[in-house]
Amino acid sequence: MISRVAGNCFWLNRYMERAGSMARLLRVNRSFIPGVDLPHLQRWHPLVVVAGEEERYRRHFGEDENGETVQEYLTWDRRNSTSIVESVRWARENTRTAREIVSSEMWETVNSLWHWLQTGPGRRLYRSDRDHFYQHIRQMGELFHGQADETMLNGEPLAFMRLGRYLERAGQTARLMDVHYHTFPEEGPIDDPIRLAQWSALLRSCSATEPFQKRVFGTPTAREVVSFLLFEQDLPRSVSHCLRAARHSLVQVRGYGSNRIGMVSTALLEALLSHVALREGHTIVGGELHDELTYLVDSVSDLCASIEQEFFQSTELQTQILVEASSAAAQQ
Amino acid sequence: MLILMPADQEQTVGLAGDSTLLDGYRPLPRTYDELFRGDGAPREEVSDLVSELNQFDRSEFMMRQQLAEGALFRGGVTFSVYSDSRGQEKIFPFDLIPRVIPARVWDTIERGLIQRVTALNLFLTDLYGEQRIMKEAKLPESVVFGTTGYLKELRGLRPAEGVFVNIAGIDLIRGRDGAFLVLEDNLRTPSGVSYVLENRVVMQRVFPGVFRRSRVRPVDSYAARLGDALMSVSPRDPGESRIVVLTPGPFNSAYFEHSFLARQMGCDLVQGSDLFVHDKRVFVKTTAGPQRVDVIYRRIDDDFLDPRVFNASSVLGVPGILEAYAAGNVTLANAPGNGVADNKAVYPFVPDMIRFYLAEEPILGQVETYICARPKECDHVLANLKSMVVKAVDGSGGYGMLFGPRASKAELAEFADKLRDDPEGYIAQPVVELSTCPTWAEGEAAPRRVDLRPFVLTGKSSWVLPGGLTRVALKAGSYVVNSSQGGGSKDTWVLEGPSS
Repeated sequence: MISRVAGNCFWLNRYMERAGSMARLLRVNRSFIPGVDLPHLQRWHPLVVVAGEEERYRRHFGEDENGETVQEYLTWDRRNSTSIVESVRWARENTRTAREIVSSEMWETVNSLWHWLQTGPGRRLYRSDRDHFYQHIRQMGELFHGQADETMLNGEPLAFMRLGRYLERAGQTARLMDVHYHTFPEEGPIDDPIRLAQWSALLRSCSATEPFQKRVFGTPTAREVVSFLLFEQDLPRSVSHCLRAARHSLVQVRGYGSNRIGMVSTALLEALLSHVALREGHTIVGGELHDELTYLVDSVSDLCASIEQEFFQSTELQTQILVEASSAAAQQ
Repeated sequence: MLILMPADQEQTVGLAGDSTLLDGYRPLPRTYDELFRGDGAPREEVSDLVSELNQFDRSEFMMRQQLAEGALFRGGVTFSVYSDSRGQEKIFPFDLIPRVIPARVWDTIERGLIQRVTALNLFLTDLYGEQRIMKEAKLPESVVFGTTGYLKELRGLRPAEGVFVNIAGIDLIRGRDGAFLVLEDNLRTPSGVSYVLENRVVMQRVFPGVFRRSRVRPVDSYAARLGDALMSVSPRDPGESRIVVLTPGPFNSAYFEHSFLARQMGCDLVQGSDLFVHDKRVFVKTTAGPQRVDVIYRRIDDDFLDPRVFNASSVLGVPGILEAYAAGNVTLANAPGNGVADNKAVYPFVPDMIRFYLAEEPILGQVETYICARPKECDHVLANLKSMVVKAVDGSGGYGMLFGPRASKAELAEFADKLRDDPEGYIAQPVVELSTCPTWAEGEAAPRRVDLRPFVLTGKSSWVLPGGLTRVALKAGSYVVNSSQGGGSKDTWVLEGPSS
C-alpha cells in the first residue's frame, strides 16, 4: 500500500486509542473512591504528567492544579496536542485523508464523534453529566477499534492500524504505571486506604479491575499488580500483550512488503520483547520500576520513530531499491 | 443552511401545514419549467412522477429532506469552504425534488455530447499536431495563441489512443423554448460526479417507493466505466497496469470526490509526494517498495503538474512527470494542454469544429456569443450591455463576469471601460432565462433556476453518464448555480424509454 496512507492508518488508530484512554483516565480519576480525600495536587497532577504536558500546562496555568482546570485542559484545550478534542481531530483528519482505505463504518464513527464534540451536544453533556460524557468517548473508541476488526479486510491497512493501536497502548500502560510507581509499597499487601484507592484507580484506568479480580484473590500486593499490568499475556492492555500483538502485525506487514523495508523496526521490537521476557517473574518495585518503565516508554517511542522512517517516509530507500534492482538486472 | 440531526426531527412535523408538496406551484412567467407547463399543469411526460411526489404533504417532505441532509452530513459528503482547524465543512446543499429528463430528450443530448467531445478531441489532436484548422483558416491563430491554455511545449505529443479528453463535463442550460444549449465545456478536471452518485444513494433511501415506480436509469456503473476507460489508454498491458488518482491533498475542496472515486474504482489515491520519476518512469512509494504507475487520473491543474516544466514552486506535482509522459511511459488523464479547447475564446468556434472535423451539423445548440475582439460585435455588446452577460475569457466559476440586468449604472460604466481597454479579453452572450425546477424553499416548493453538467467518458469509445449533476440556484431570482456562490444540487432522473 501507499507509504503515506500506511502512515495514516497507523496514526488514526494511535489518536483514537489516545482519545479513548484519556477519557477512561479522566473518568476513573473523577470517581476515585468516595470518602478518600486527596489534595487536588495529588489527585489531578498525575494526569498532566501522564499526558506529558507538565511544562506546557505550567506555562499556561502556573500552579493551578484545580480539577476543573485540569479536566478542561486535557479534554478541550486546543493548545494541548494530547487533549481529547485534538486527538479526535487528528484521528478524523487521518481517516478523512485515507477515506478510500478506511471502512465507511469507521469513518462514520470518528466523523460523528468529531461533530458531537464540535457542534454542541458534547459540550452540553460535559456540563450536565460528565461521567457519561467520558464514557461516551470511551465507548466510541471501543466501537471504532471493534469496527476495524469487523469491517476491514484482514490485510495490510488493518495490520498498520493494529500496529499503531498496540504500540500506543503499550506506551500508555507503561506511562500510567510510572505515574503511580512511587506509591507502590515494596513489600506486603496494600492496605492503606488511599494507596488502595490509587491502585484500584490504576487498574481501572487499564480496564483491568475485573480481569485482576479473576486472577488474584484477597488483598493485592504491589508485586501482583505490577506483574499483572506488565506481563499478563491474557490482559488486552498489558505491556507484554501489546508488544506481542504489535509483533504479529509487524510480521504481517512485512509479509506484504519488500524485505528491505522494516528491518530496523523488526530488530528493535525483537530486542524489546526479549528484554521484557527476561524480566518476567522478577519483582520490580521502587526506583528500579521507574527505570524499567522509562526504558519501556523510550523504547516504544524509538520503535515508532523507526517505523515512521522505514515505512512511511522512505524516499531514499525506495530509490535505492530501484537502483539496486536495475544494477542487478544489468549484471545478469 | 440549517442542518438538523435526526434527533430533532419529531419537533418539526406538522409545522408546515398539511397541503401537499406541489399544490399551488406556479412556474415563473416567460421561463421554461422542468416539470410544469406555463398554465400550471404538469408536463405530460413527467405527470406520473409529479403525482408520485405530490402524495407527500409538506411536513412529511420536510422530514425527509432533513433525513437526507443528516445522512449526507454523517457520511461526510462535504466540501470545505475554507478548511481550517475548526473543520468548517458544509454539505453541498441538496434538494430532494428531482430534475427529470424524458427518454427521448436524453437521447438527443447523449448523441450531441458524444459528437461534441469527439470533435474537441480531434481539435486538440490537430492543434498539438498539424494545425490543419488554422492552416485552412477555420480558426484565427490569435484565438489559440492569444489566450492561456495552449502549451507549446507539448506540440508533437499524442496521448495514448489520441484521447486528450478522457473525462469531460459539459455544462448545459435550457432556454425559454426548452431547447438544451451548451454553455461551457470543462475538459481539464471537471468535478461534481461524486455528488451525482451520493445524491442518488440518498434519494433511493429517502424515496424508495417513488424511485422504484419511476423507472429511472441507474448511475452506479460510473466508477467501473471510468476504470475501464482509463485502463484502455494504459501504455502497458491492462493486466499489469496500475491506475492511481492524483489529488492536491486533503485541503482541496474536492478532496471528498477524489477519495470517493479512488475508493469506487478500487485504486490508490496519491498525492504528488507519493510519486517519483526514475528513468522516465513513474513510481509510487509503497510499503512493498516502489511500484510502476501506468495511468494517472490527475485532479491537479496543468500548472502544478511538473515543477520542472511549469510552476517551479509547486509542491503538489511530480518533478519529471512530463518527461515520462512525453516518453509514452505514463498516461495522464486528462491530457495536459486541454485548457486551450475549453476557454471562452474558443467556445464560439466549436460548432465550426464539428462541421470541419466530422462534416456533420451540431446536434446541440449553444448560446449565441459575441466575440469582443471583433470591433463590430464589441460595439453591439457595448450598446446592449444591460441585456448581456459579459465573461472574461480566462475566468471561471462565475467570477470576473458582468451580469447586465443586475448591474448598477456605475458597474456597467466600469465594465464598459474594461471592455474598451481589452476587447480580446472578453466575450458576451445575451442573457438566457435558465429553466426552473420546483425546489424546496422556506416550507414550500418554489421555482428555482437550474443547469446540468453531464459527464462523458472516453477511452476507445465514448459513454455518457445518464443524467449528470443538476445544480440549482437556491436564492429566489438568482441565476448563479455555482456551489461556491450559494448553489445546491438535485438528483437528475433520466427516465427509461418505452420498453422494447
